[in-house]
Amino acid sequence: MSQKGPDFLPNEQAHRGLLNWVIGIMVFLTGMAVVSGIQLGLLADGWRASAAGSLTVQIVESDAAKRQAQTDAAVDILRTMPGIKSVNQLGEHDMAALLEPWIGETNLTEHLPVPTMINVSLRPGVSIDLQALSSLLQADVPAARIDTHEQWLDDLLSLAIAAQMISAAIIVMMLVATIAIVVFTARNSLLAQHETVAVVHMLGAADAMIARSFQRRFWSVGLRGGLIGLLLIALVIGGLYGLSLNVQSAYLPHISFHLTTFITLCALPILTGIVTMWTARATVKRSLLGMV
Amino acid sequence: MISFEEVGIRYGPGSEVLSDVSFRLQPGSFHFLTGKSGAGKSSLLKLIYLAQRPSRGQIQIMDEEVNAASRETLVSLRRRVGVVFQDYRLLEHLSTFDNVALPLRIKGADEDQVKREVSELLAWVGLADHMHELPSTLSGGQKQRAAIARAVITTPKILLADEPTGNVDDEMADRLMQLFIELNKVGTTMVIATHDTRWVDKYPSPQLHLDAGHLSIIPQDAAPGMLL
Repeated sequence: MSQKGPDFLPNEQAHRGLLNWVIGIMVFLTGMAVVSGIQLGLLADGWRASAAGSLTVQIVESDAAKRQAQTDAAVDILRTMPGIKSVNQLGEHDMAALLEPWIGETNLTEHLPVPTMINVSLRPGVSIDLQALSSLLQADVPAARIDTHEQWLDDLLSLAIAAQMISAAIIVMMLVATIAIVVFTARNSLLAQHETVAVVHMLGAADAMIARSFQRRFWSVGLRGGLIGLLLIALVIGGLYGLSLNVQSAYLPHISFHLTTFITLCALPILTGIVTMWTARATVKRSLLGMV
Repeated sequence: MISFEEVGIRYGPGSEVLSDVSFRLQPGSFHFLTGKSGAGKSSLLKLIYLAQRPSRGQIQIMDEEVNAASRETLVSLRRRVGVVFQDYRLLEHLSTFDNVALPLRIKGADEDQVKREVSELLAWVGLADHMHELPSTLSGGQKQRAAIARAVITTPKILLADEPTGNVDDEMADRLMQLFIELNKVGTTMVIATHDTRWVDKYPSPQLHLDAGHLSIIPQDAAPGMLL
Protein backbone atom coordinates (compact mmCIF):
# COMPACT_ATOMS: atom_id res chain seq x y z
CA MET A 1 0.00 0.00 0.00
CA SER A 2 2.72 2.47 0.94
CA GLN A 3 4.61 1.87 -2.27
CA LYS A 4 1.68 1.86 -4.62
CA GLY A 5 -0.70 4.27 -2.89
CA PRO A 6 -4.42 3.90 -2.38
CA ASP A 7 -6.79 3.12 -5.20
CA PHE A 8 -9.20 6.02 -4.88
CA LEU A 9 -10.92 5.97 -8.28
CA PRO A 10 -14.48 4.74 -8.66
CA ASN A 11 -15.34 1.93 -11.04
CA GLU A 12 -16.38 3.05 -14.50
CA GLN A 13 -17.46 -0.38 -15.67
CA ALA A 14 -19.58 0.85 -18.60
CA HIS A 15 -16.88 3.01 -20.15
CA ARG A 16 -14.21 0.41 -19.61
CA GLY A 17 -16.35 -2.31 -21.17
CA LEU A 18 -16.68 -0.26 -24.33
CA LEU A 19 -12.98 0.56 -24.36
CA ASN A 20 -12.13 -3.14 -23.94
CA TRP A 21 -13.92 -3.85 -27.21
CA VAL A 22 -12.44 -0.89 -29.07
CA ILE A 23 -8.94 -1.97 -28.04
CA GLY A 24 -9.86 -5.58 -28.81
CA ILE A 25 -10.72 -4.63 -32.40
CA MET A 26 -7.50 -2.62 -32.74
CA VAL A 27 -5.51 -5.59 -31.45
CA PHE A 28 -7.35 -7.91 -33.83
CA LEU A 29 -6.46 -5.74 -36.84
CA THR A 30 -2.89 -5.29 -35.59
CA GLY A 31 -2.59 -9.03 -35.00
CA MET A 32 -3.81 -9.85 -38.50
CA ALA A 33 -1.22 -7.44 -39.92
CA VAL A 34 1.44 -9.06 -37.71
CA VAL A 35 0.45 -12.55 -38.88
CA SER A 36 0.50 -11.43 -42.52
CA GLY A 37 3.90 -9.80 -42.13
CA ILE A 38 5.50 -12.76 -40.38
CA GLN A 39 3.95 -15.38 -42.66
CA LEU A 40 4.99 -13.43 -45.77
CA GLY A 41 8.52 -13.18 -44.42
CA LEU A 42 8.62 -16.91 -43.79
CA LEU A 43 7.18 -17.62 -47.23
CA ALA A 44 9.81 -15.38 -48.86
CA ASP A 45 12.55 -17.12 -46.87
CA GLY A 46 11.24 -20.46 -48.15
CA TRP A 47 11.27 -19.21 -51.73
CA ARG A 48 14.79 -17.89 -51.34
CA ALA A 49 16.02 -21.17 -49.83
CA SER A 50 14.43 -23.34 -52.49
CA ALA A 51 15.56 -21.11 -55.34
CA ALA A 52 19.09 -20.79 -54.03
CA GLY A 53 19.58 -24.55 -54.12
CA SER A 54 18.28 -25.25 -57.61
CA LEU A 55 18.24 -24.24 -61.28
CA THR A 56 16.41 -25.42 -64.36
CA VAL A 57 17.91 -26.23 -67.74
CA GLN A 58 15.48 -26.12 -70.67
CA ILE A 59 16.19 -27.71 -74.01
CA VAL A 60 14.35 -25.59 -76.55
CA GLU A 61 14.47 -27.57 -79.76
CA SER A 62 11.54 -28.14 -82.14
CA ASP A 63 12.85 -31.42 -83.55
CA ALA A 64 11.91 -34.16 -81.08
CA ALA A 65 14.86 -36.45 -81.86
CA LYS A 66 17.41 -33.66 -81.57
CA ARG A 67 15.70 -32.42 -78.41
CA GLN A 68 16.02 -35.83 -76.77
CA ALA A 69 19.64 -36.22 -77.89
CA GLN A 70 20.56 -32.82 -76.50
CA THR A 71 18.62 -33.56 -73.29
CA ASP A 72 20.61 -36.75 -72.75
CA ALA A 73 23.84 -34.91 -73.42
CA ALA A 74 22.93 -32.13 -71.00
CA VAL A 75 22.03 -34.62 -68.28
CA ASP A 76 25.39 -36.37 -68.76
CA ILE A 77 27.31 -33.10 -68.59
CA LEU A 78 25.44 -31.88 -65.54
CA ARG A 79 25.97 -35.14 -63.66
CA THR A 80 29.71 -34.84 -64.04
CA MET A 81 29.86 -31.33 -62.64
CA PRO A 82 31.04 -30.84 -59.04
CA GLY A 83 28.58 -29.30 -56.58
CA ILE A 84 25.52 -30.77 -58.22
CA LYS A 85 23.45 -32.98 -55.98
CA SER A 86 20.89 -34.35 -58.41
CA VAL A 87 19.78 -33.99 -62.01
CA ASN A 88 16.21 -34.97 -62.94
CA GLN A 89 14.57 -34.68 -66.30
CA LEU A 90 10.86 -33.99 -66.05
CA GLY A 91 8.94 -36.80 -67.74
CA GLU A 92 6.03 -36.38 -70.14
CA HIS A 93 3.56 -36.93 -67.33
CA ASP A 94 5.14 -34.11 -65.27
CA MET A 95 5.15 -31.75 -68.26
CA ALA A 96 1.50 -32.53 -68.98
CA ALA A 97 0.68 -31.76 -65.35
CA LEU A 98 2.51 -28.43 -65.55
CA LEU A 99 0.66 -27.46 -68.72
CA GLU A 100 -2.72 -28.77 -67.62
CA PRO A 101 -3.95 -25.50 -66.09
CA TRP A 102 -3.48 -23.78 -69.48
CA ILE A 103 -4.32 -26.40 -72.09
CA GLY A 104 -6.37 -28.90 -70.09
CA GLU A 105 -6.14 -32.65 -70.02
CA THR A 106 -5.04 -33.56 -73.57
CA ASN A 107 -2.27 -35.46 -75.22
CA LEU A 108 -1.40 -32.30 -77.13
CA THR A 109 2.12 -32.33 -75.66
CA GLU A 110 2.91 -35.30 -77.90
CA HIS A 111 2.36 -33.09 -80.95
CA LEU A 112 3.72 -29.80 -79.60
CA PRO A 113 7.43 -28.95 -79.51
CA VAL A 114 7.38 -28.55 -75.74
CA PRO A 115 10.88 -27.91 -74.34
CA THR A 116 12.25 -30.55 -72.05
CA MET A 117 13.08 -29.42 -68.56
CA ILE A 118 15.86 -30.64 -66.32
CA ASN A 119 15.69 -29.83 -62.60
CA VAL A 120 19.13 -29.45 -61.08
CA SER A 121 19.58 -29.51 -57.28
CA LEU A 122 22.77 -28.07 -55.86
CA ARG A 123 24.61 -29.23 -52.80
CA PRO A 124 23.98 -26.93 -49.77
CA GLY A 125 26.24 -23.88 -49.78
CA VAL A 126 27.43 -24.45 -53.34
CA SER A 127 27.13 -21.76 -55.97
CA ILE A 128 27.54 -22.55 -59.64
CA ASP A 129 29.45 -20.38 -62.10
CA LEU A 130 26.61 -19.90 -64.58
CA GLN A 131 28.90 -18.46 -67.25
CA ALA A 132 31.12 -21.53 -67.14
CA LEU A 133 28.14 -23.90 -67.11
CA SER A 134 26.59 -22.11 -70.06
CA SER A 135 29.82 -22.30 -72.04
CA LEU A 136 30.17 -25.98 -71.22
CA LEU A 137 26.65 -26.78 -72.35
CA GLN A 138 26.76 -24.63 -75.49
CA ALA A 139 29.38 -26.88 -77.10
CA ASP A 140 27.22 -30.04 -77.06
CA VAL A 141 23.79 -28.68 -76.25
CA PRO A 142 23.25 -25.51 -78.27
CA ALA A 143 19.50 -25.53 -77.43
CA ALA A 144 20.11 -25.29 -73.66
CA ARG A 145 18.70 -22.35 -71.70
CA ILE A 146 19.61 -21.99 -68.05
CA ASP A 147 17.00 -20.55 -65.66
CA THR A 148 18.18 -19.75 -62.13
CA HIS A 149 14.68 -18.59 -61.10
CA GLU A 150 16.14 -15.21 -60.19
CA GLN A 151 13.78 -13.26 -62.41
CA TRP A 152 10.51 -14.58 -61.03
CA LEU A 153 11.94 -14.87 -57.53
CA ASP A 154 12.95 -11.17 -57.55
CA ASP A 155 9.43 -10.22 -58.61
CA LEU A 156 7.88 -12.40 -55.92
CA LEU A 157 10.27 -11.13 -53.27
CA SER A 158 9.54 -7.52 -54.23
CA LEU A 159 5.84 -8.27 -53.91
CA ALA A 160 6.35 -9.98 -50.54
CA ILE A 161 8.49 -7.09 -49.24
CA ALA A 162 5.90 -4.55 -50.40
CA ALA A 163 3.17 -6.52 -48.64
CA GLN A 164 5.32 -6.74 -45.50
CA MET A 165 5.87 -2.99 -45.57
CA ILE A 166 2.13 -2.44 -45.87
CA SER A 167 1.65 -4.76 -42.86
CA ALA A 168 4.25 -2.78 -40.91
CA ALA A 169 2.55 0.50 -41.86
CA ILE A 170 -0.80 -0.90 -40.70
CA ILE A 171 0.77 -1.98 -37.39
CA VAL A 172 2.25 1.51 -36.86
CA MET A 173 -1.08 3.15 -37.73
CA MET A 174 -2.94 0.84 -35.35
CA LEU A 175 -0.43 1.62 -32.60
CA VAL A 176 -0.81 5.36 -33.16
CA ALA A 177 -4.61 5.02 -33.26
CA THR A 178 -4.62 2.94 -30.06
CA ILE A 179 -2.41 5.48 -28.30
CA ALA A 180 -4.69 8.31 -29.50
CA ILE A 181 -7.78 6.47 -28.20
CA VAL A 182 -6.12 5.85 -24.83
CA VAL A 183 -4.96 9.49 -24.57
CA PHE A 184 -8.49 10.67 -25.35
CA THR A 185 -10.06 8.22 -22.89
CA ALA A 186 -7.53 8.96 -20.15
CA ARG A 187 -8.18 12.70 -20.51
CA ASN A 188 -11.93 12.11 -20.37
CA SER A 189 -11.50 9.84 -17.38
CA LEU A 190 -9.38 12.49 -15.66
CA LEU A 191 -12.02 15.10 -16.46
CA ALA A 192 -14.79 12.86 -15.13
CA GLN A 193 -12.78 12.29 -11.94
CA HIS A 194 -11.65 15.90 -11.61
CA GLU A 195 -13.15 16.37 -8.13
CA THR A 196 -11.69 13.10 -6.85
CA VAL A 197 -8.28 13.95 -8.27
CA ALA A 198 -8.44 17.50 -6.87
CA VAL A 199 -9.23 16.16 -3.38
CA VAL A 200 -6.46 13.54 -3.29
CA HIS A 201 -4.07 16.10 -4.79
CA MET A 202 -4.98 18.48 -1.99
CA LEU A 203 -4.50 15.69 0.57
CA GLY A 204 -0.91 15.30 -0.60
CA ALA A 205 -1.02 12.60 -3.27
CA ALA A 206 1.97 12.98 -5.60
CA ASP A 207 1.42 13.09 -9.36
CA ALA A 208 2.94 9.62 -9.74
CA MET A 209 0.55 8.20 -7.11
CA ILE A 210 -2.49 9.67 -8.88
CA ALA A 211 -1.18 8.48 -12.26
CA ARG A 212 -0.70 4.97 -10.82
CA SER A 213 -4.37 4.78 -9.94
CA PHE A 214 -5.27 5.51 -13.56
CA GLN A 215 -2.59 3.28 -15.03
CA ARG A 216 -3.87 0.32 -12.99
CA ARG A 217 -7.27 0.79 -14.64
CA PHE A 218 -5.79 1.14 -18.10
CA TRP A 219 -3.45 -1.86 -17.71
CA SER A 220 -6.52 -3.95 -16.98
CA VAL A 221 -8.38 -2.42 -19.95
CA GLY A 222 -5.42 -3.00 -22.29
CA LEU A 223 -4.96 -6.58 -21.15
CA ARG A 224 -8.65 -7.42 -21.54
CA GLY A 225 -8.79 -5.68 -24.92
CA GLY A 226 -5.70 -7.61 -25.97
CA LEU A 227 -7.29 -10.91 -24.94
CA ILE A 228 -10.47 -10.06 -26.86
CA GLY A 229 -8.34 -9.24 -29.92
CA LEU A 230 -6.38 -12.47 -29.52
CA LEU A 231 -9.60 -14.47 -29.32
CA LEU A 232 -10.88 -12.84 -32.52
CA ILE A 233 -7.56 -13.57 -34.26
CA ALA A 234 -7.71 -17.21 -33.14
CA LEU A 235 -11.26 -17.54 -34.48
CA VAL A 236 -10.38 -16.00 -37.85
CA ILE A 237 -7.13 -17.92 -38.31
CA GLY A 238 -8.76 -21.14 -37.15
CA GLY A 239 -11.58 -20.56 -39.62
CA LEU A 240 -9.19 -19.81 -42.49
CA TYR A 241 -7.11 -22.87 -41.66
CA GLY A 242 -10.22 -25.02 -41.61
CA LEU A 243 -11.29 -23.68 -45.00
CA SER A 244 -7.83 -24.17 -46.48
CA LEU A 245 -7.95 -27.87 -45.61
CA ASN A 246 -10.84 -28.25 -48.04
CA VAL A 247 -9.06 -26.48 -50.91
CA GLN A 248 -6.69 -28.52 -53.05
CA SER A 249 -4.75 -26.22 -55.32
CA ALA A 250 -1.22 -26.02 -56.56
CA TYR A 251 -1.43 -22.23 -56.35
CA LEU A 252 -2.18 -22.06 -52.60
CA PRO A 253 0.80 -22.54 -50.35
CA HIS A 254 0.26 -24.89 -47.43
CA ILE A 255 -0.86 -22.80 -44.44
CA SER A 256 1.27 -23.44 -41.39
CA PHE A 257 2.21 -21.16 -38.55
CA HIS A 258 5.71 -20.66 -37.33
CA LEU A 259 6.48 -20.53 -33.61
CA THR A 260 7.42 -16.83 -34.02
CA THR A 261 3.86 -16.09 -35.10
CA PHE A 262 2.38 -17.82 -32.06
CA ILE A 263 4.79 -16.15 -29.63
CA THR A 264 4.13 -12.71 -31.14
CA LEU A 265 0.37 -13.21 -31.03
CA CYS A 266 0.46 -14.46 -27.43
CA ALA A 267 2.56 -11.42 -26.45
CA LEU A 268 0.03 -9.00 -27.99
CA PRO A 269 -2.30 -8.72 -24.94
CA ILE A 270 0.64 -8.03 -22.61
CA LEU A 271 2.18 -5.54 -25.04
CA THR A 272 -1.21 -3.86 -25.40
CA GLY A 273 -1.56 -3.67 -21.62
CA ILE A 274 1.88 -2.08 -21.34
CA VAL A 275 1.27 0.45 -24.15
CA THR A 276 -2.15 1.33 -22.71
CA MET A 277 -0.84 1.64 -19.18
CA TRP A 278 2.13 3.85 -20.05
CA THR A 279 0.10 6.02 -22.39
CA ALA A 280 -2.47 6.61 -19.64
CA ARG A 281 0.28 7.30 -17.12
CA ALA A 282 2.00 9.85 -19.36
CA THR A 283 -1.31 11.51 -20.23
CA VAL A 284 -2.41 11.82 -16.60
CA LYS A 285 0.97 13.06 -15.40
CA ARG A 286 1.06 15.64 -18.16
CA SER A 287 -2.46 16.82 -17.31
CA LEU A 288 -1.65 17.03 -13.59
CA LEU A 289 1.07 19.57 -14.35
CA GLY A 290 -1.81 21.98 -14.94
CA MET A 291 -2.60 21.78 -11.22
CA VAL A 292 -0.49 23.72 -8.68
CA MET B 1 4.78 28.95 10.12
CA ILE B 2 2.77 30.97 7.58
CA SER B 3 4.00 34.21 6.10
CA PHE B 4 2.33 36.41 3.49
CA GLU B 5 4.13 39.44 2.04
CA GLU B 6 2.20 41.86 -0.18
CA VAL B 7 0.17 39.00 -1.60
CA GLY B 8 -2.41 39.69 -4.26
CA ILE B 9 -4.58 37.34 -6.25
CA ARG B 10 -6.92 37.92 -9.13
CA TYR B 11 -8.94 35.57 -11.30
CA GLY B 12 -8.97 36.71 -14.88
CA PRO B 13 -8.91 40.35 -15.88
CA GLY B 14 -11.03 41.68 -12.95
CA SER B 15 -9.87 43.44 -9.82
CA GLU B 16 -7.88 41.62 -7.15
CA VAL B 17 -9.80 39.31 -4.84
CA LEU B 18 -7.04 39.71 -2.28
CA SER B 19 -4.90 42.79 -2.28
CA ASP B 20 -1.64 43.53 -0.45
CA VAL B 21 -2.24 40.83 2.15
CA SER B 22 0.61 40.60 4.65
CA PHE B 23 0.69 38.65 7.91
CA ARG B 24 2.70 36.11 9.84
CA LEU B 25 1.31 33.25 11.88
CA GLN B 26 3.60 31.68 14.45
CA PRO B 27 3.72 27.90 14.91
CA GLY B 28 0.97 26.77 17.26
CA SER B 29 -1.10 29.95 16.88
CA PHE B 30 -4.90 29.98 16.74
CA HIS B 31 -6.68 32.49 14.52
CA PHE B 32 -10.19 33.02 13.29
CA LEU B 33 -10.52 34.18 9.71
CA THR B 34 -13.52 36.46 9.57
CA GLY B 35 -15.22 38.56 6.98
CA LYS B 36 -18.40 38.78 4.99
CA SER B 37 -19.24 36.38 2.23
CA GLY B 38 -17.11 37.26 -0.82
CA ALA B 39 -14.50 39.06 1.26
CA GLY B 40 -11.83 36.63 0.07
CA LYS B 41 -11.73 34.08 2.93
CA SER B 42 -11.82 31.05 0.62
CA SER B 43 -9.15 32.56 -1.65
CA LEU B 44 -6.89 33.14 1.33
CA LEU B 45 -7.40 29.56 2.51
CA LYS B 46 -6.70 28.26 -1.02
CA LEU B 47 -3.36 30.03 -0.98
CA ILE B 48 -2.49 28.43 2.35
CA TYR B 49 -3.51 24.92 1.36
CA LEU B 50 -1.61 25.38 -1.90
CA ALA B 51 -4.47 25.01 -4.35
CA GLN B 52 -3.61 28.37 -5.88
CA ARG B 53 -0.52 30.40 -6.56
CA PRO B 54 -0.62 34.14 -5.80
CA SER B 55 -0.67 36.62 -8.68
CA ARG B 56 1.93 38.61 -6.79
CA GLY B 57 3.74 38.69 -3.47
CA GLN B 58 5.57 36.06 -1.48
CA ILE B 59 4.17 33.21 0.57
CA GLN B 60 6.14 31.06 2.97
CA ILE B 61 4.62 27.93 4.49
CA MET B 62 6.67 26.03 7.05
CA ASP B 63 9.82 27.84 5.90
CA GLU B 64 9.29 26.91 2.25
CA GLU B 65 9.00 29.63 -0.37
CA VAL B 66 5.79 28.52 -2.09
CA ASN B 67 6.35 30.46 -5.33
CA ALA B 68 9.65 28.70 -6.00
CA ALA B 69 8.83 25.32 -4.44
CA SER B 70 9.16 22.16 -6.50
CA ARG B 71 6.17 19.85 -6.99
CA GLU B 72 7.74 17.38 -4.55
CA THR B 73 8.03 20.11 -1.90
CA LEU B 74 4.41 21.14 -2.46
CA VAL B 75 3.33 17.50 -2.00
CA SER B 76 5.28 17.32 1.24
CA LEU B 77 3.71 20.59 2.46
CA ARG B 78 0.17 19.48 1.58
CA ARG B 79 0.61 16.35 3.69
CA ARG B 80 1.22 18.61 6.67
CA VAL B 81 -1.79 20.86 6.07
CA GLY B 82 -5.27 19.66 6.99
CA VAL B 83 -8.30 21.30 5.43
CA VAL B 84 -11.98 21.16 6.34
CA PHE B 85 -14.00 22.41 3.39
CA GLN B 86 -17.27 24.22 3.73
CA ASP B 87 -18.80 21.77 1.22
CA TYR B 88 -16.92 18.83 2.84
CA ARG B 89 -15.55 17.48 -0.46
CA LEU B 90 -15.88 13.86 0.63
CA LEU B 91 -15.40 11.31 -2.14
CA GLU B 92 -18.90 9.99 -2.79
CA HIS B 93 -17.82 6.53 -3.95
CA LEU B 94 -15.77 5.83 -0.81
CA SER B 95 -17.18 4.86 2.57
CA THR B 96 -16.85 7.22 5.51
CA PHE B 97 -14.03 5.03 6.79
CA ASP B 98 -12.14 5.13 3.49
CA ASN B 99 -12.62 8.89 3.17
CA VAL B 100 -11.12 9.48 6.59
CA ALA B 101 -8.38 6.91 5.93
CA LEU B 102 -7.32 8.55 2.67
CA PRO B 103 -4.67 10.98 4.08
CA LEU B 104 -3.09 8.16 6.10
CA ARG B 105 -3.00 5.83 3.10
CA ILE B 106 -1.55 8.59 0.92
CA LYS B 107 1.20 9.02 3.51
CA GLY B 108 1.85 5.29 3.33
CA ALA B 109 0.56 4.18 6.73
CA ASP B 110 0.11 0.45 7.19
CA GLU B 111 -3.42 -0.91 7.30
CA ASP B 112 -3.27 -1.83 11.01
CA GLN B 113 -2.51 1.78 11.88
CA VAL B 114 -5.19 3.00 9.46
CA LYS B 115 -7.83 0.72 10.97
CA ARG B 116 -6.94 1.62 14.54
CA GLU B 117 -6.65 5.39 14.14
CA VAL B 118 -9.61 5.87 11.80
CA SER B 119 -11.95 3.76 13.97
CA GLU B 120 -10.84 5.68 17.07
CA LEU B 121 -11.39 9.08 15.48
CA LEU B 122 -14.72 8.15 13.90
CA ALA B 123 -15.91 6.98 17.31
CA TRP B 124 -14.76 10.26 18.79
CA VAL B 125 -16.73 12.36 16.28
CA GLY B 126 -19.78 10.10 16.73
CA LEU B 127 -19.62 8.31 13.39
CA ALA B 128 -18.67 4.83 14.60
CA ASP B 129 -22.01 3.47 13.46
CA HIS B 130 -21.69 5.08 10.03
CA MET B 131 -18.14 4.17 9.09
CA HIS B 132 -19.17 1.81 6.30
CA GLU B 133 -21.80 4.10 4.85
CA LEU B 134 -21.33 6.24 1.79
CA PRO B 135 -21.32 10.02 2.29
CA SER B 136 -24.55 10.32 0.32
CA THR B 137 -26.38 8.57 3.18
CA LEU B 138 -25.00 10.92 5.86
CA SER B 139 -26.67 14.09 7.10
CA GLY B 140 -24.97 17.46 6.64
CA GLY B 141 -23.65 17.42 10.18
CA GLN B 142 -22.33 13.88 9.82
CA LYS B 143 -20.58 14.80 6.60
CA GLN B 144 -19.00 17.76 8.31
CA ARG B 145 -17.72 15.57 11.13
CA ALA B 146 -16.33 13.10 8.60
CA ALA B 147 -14.61 15.97 6.77
CA ILE B 148 -13.10 17.20 10.05
CA ALA B 149 -11.96 13.68 10.91
CA ARG B 150 -10.26 13.42 7.50
CA ALA B 151 -8.52 16.76 8.04
CA VAL B 152 -7.14 15.90 11.48
CA ILE B 153 -6.38 12.19 11.08
CA THR B 154 -2.70 12.84 10.31
CA THR B 155 -2.32 15.46 13.06
CA PRO B 156 -1.33 18.18 10.60
CA LYS B 157 1.02 21.07 11.42
CA ILE B 158 -1.53 23.51 10.04
CA LEU B 159 -5.29 23.00 10.14
CA LEU B 160 -7.57 25.19 8.05
CA ALA B 161 -11.32 24.96 8.55
CA ASP B 162 -13.87 26.77 6.43
CA GLU B 163 -17.09 27.24 8.44
CA PRO B 164 -16.52 23.97 10.35
CA THR B 165 -19.46 24.48 12.71
CA GLY B 166 -21.91 25.57 10.04
CA ASN B 167 -23.96 22.38 9.80
CA VAL B 168 -23.79 20.88 13.28
CA ASP B 169 -25.78 21.56 16.42
CA ASP B 170 -24.28 23.66 19.19
CA GLU B 171 -23.27 20.66 21.28
CA MET B 172 -21.37 19.04 18.42
CA ALA B 173 -19.94 22.42 17.38
CA ASP B 174 -18.61 22.83 20.89
CA ARG B 175 -17.04 19.36 20.77
CA LEU B 176 -15.43 20.15 17.43
CA MET B 177 -14.06 23.44 18.74
CA GLN B 178 -12.67 21.52 21.71
CA LEU B 179 -11.01 19.14 19.26
CA PHE B 180 -9.44 22.09 17.44
CA ILE B 181 -8.23 23.53 20.74
CA GLU B 182 -6.73 20.17 21.75
CA LEU B 183 -4.94 19.97 18.38
CA ASN B 184 -3.76 23.55 18.85
CA LYS B 185 -2.39 22.65 22.28
CA VAL B 186 -0.21 19.96 20.75
CA GLY B 187 1.23 22.50 18.32
CA THR B 188 -1.11 22.58 15.34
CA THR B 189 -1.45 26.04 13.85
CA MET B 190 -5.17 26.74 13.45
CA VAL B 191 -6.99 29.05 11.07
CA ILE B 192 -10.77 28.79 11.31
CA ALA B 193 -12.83 30.73 8.82
CA THR B 194 -16.23 31.62 10.21
CA HIS B 195 -18.90 34.25 9.97
CA ASP B 196 -20.46 33.07 13.25
CA THR B 197 -19.24 35.56 15.84
CA ARG B 198 -20.54 33.36 18.69
CA TRP B 199 -17.48 31.14 18.39
CA VAL B 200 -15.17 34.12 18.16
CA ASP B 201 -16.73 35.45 21.34
CA LYS B 202 -16.69 32.07 23.10
CA TYR B 203 -13.09 31.22 22.17
CA PRO B 204 -11.48 34.64 21.99
CA SER B 205 -8.52 34.57 19.63
CA PRO B 206 -6.88 36.97 17.18
CA GLN B 207 -8.80 37.46 13.97
CA LEU B 208 -7.58 37.80 10.43
CA HIS B 209 -10.38 39.98 9.18
CA LEU B 210 -10.97 40.40 5.48
CA ASP B 211 -12.97 43.22 4.00
CA ALA B 212 -13.22 43.37 0.20
CA GLY B 213 -9.88 41.60 -0.17
CA HIS B 214 -8.00 43.75 2.35
CA LEU B 215 -6.72 42.15 5.53
CA SER B 216 -6.63 43.56 9.00
CA ILE B 217 -5.70 41.85 12.26
CA ILE B 218 -8.06 42.20 15.24
CA PRO B 219 -7.04 43.27 17.79
CA GLN B 220 -4.32 45.27 16.05
CA ASP B 221 -1.85 44.60 18.84
CA ALA B 222 -2.67 40.90 19.02
CA ALA B 223 0.32 38.75 19.64
CA PRO B 224 0.43 36.21 16.85
CA GLY B 225 0.38 33.39 19.30
CA MET B 226 -1.74 30.91 21.15
CA LEU B 227 -5.37 30.97 22.03
CA LEU B 228 -5.98 34.08 24.11
